[in-house]
Amino acid sequence: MSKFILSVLLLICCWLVPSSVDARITPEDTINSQRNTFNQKVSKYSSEHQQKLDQISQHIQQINKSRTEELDHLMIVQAAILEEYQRRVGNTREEEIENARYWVTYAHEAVAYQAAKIYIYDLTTESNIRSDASRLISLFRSDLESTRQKVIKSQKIVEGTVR
Amino acid sequence: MKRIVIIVVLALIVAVVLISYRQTDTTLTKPVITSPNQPASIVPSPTPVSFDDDTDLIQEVRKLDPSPLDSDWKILEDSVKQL
Repeated sequence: MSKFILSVLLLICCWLVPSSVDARITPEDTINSQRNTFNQKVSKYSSEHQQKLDQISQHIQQINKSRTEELDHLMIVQAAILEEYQRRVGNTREEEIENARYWVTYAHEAVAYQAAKIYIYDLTTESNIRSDASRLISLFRSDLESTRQKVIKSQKIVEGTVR
Repeated sequence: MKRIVIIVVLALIVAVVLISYRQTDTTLTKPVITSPNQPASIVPSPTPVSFDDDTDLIQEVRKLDPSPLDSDWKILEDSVKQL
């Protein structure tokens, strides 16, 4: 019986140990790895292509920065409106206000997460440069649209609450 | 003797669980991605947001539509065409 218990305990140990090892791979590690791979591959590309890829990358950074700054401001105003509404109505409708606050926080966090994202090409070959760039743009577009939709959803919920 | 072994194993499990949770938690609470070129762009509102008592809050919320992104996508699409 005790051998059985020991075996079970050892199995649990074996199951737990790899999870602690996996947790050591941070997002920074992943980004650095992607960046290294990109740098190795792009160094073999023509200088013109390198320049164009860099230009697109800068566009993505600029758009992400300006749009997330705008979304961040919208979230600050949404939160302020909700606070003002709570001040006016006091403790009534507390549940609805809390629900709206949850979505405001959720959307605001999504905006912060999007603002911190870095987009790195996953290059295949130089002949596929256009599709590789398009893939990165599609990913960025999908991410930014998703964040924007969260802000809009939060806006609708706040509007429904203060109505 | 068996009891001692079981206690030691249990203590090890507790230690491993605590360490793994701590590491996982650290990973989750770290800033996810940072870049010197693109700092997390959380910029405070240039003017403090405040409302008068008679401000129509519904109208204020409706003013908060995010800008359309069409012009941004156009810039990126044009850049890709140049490749």
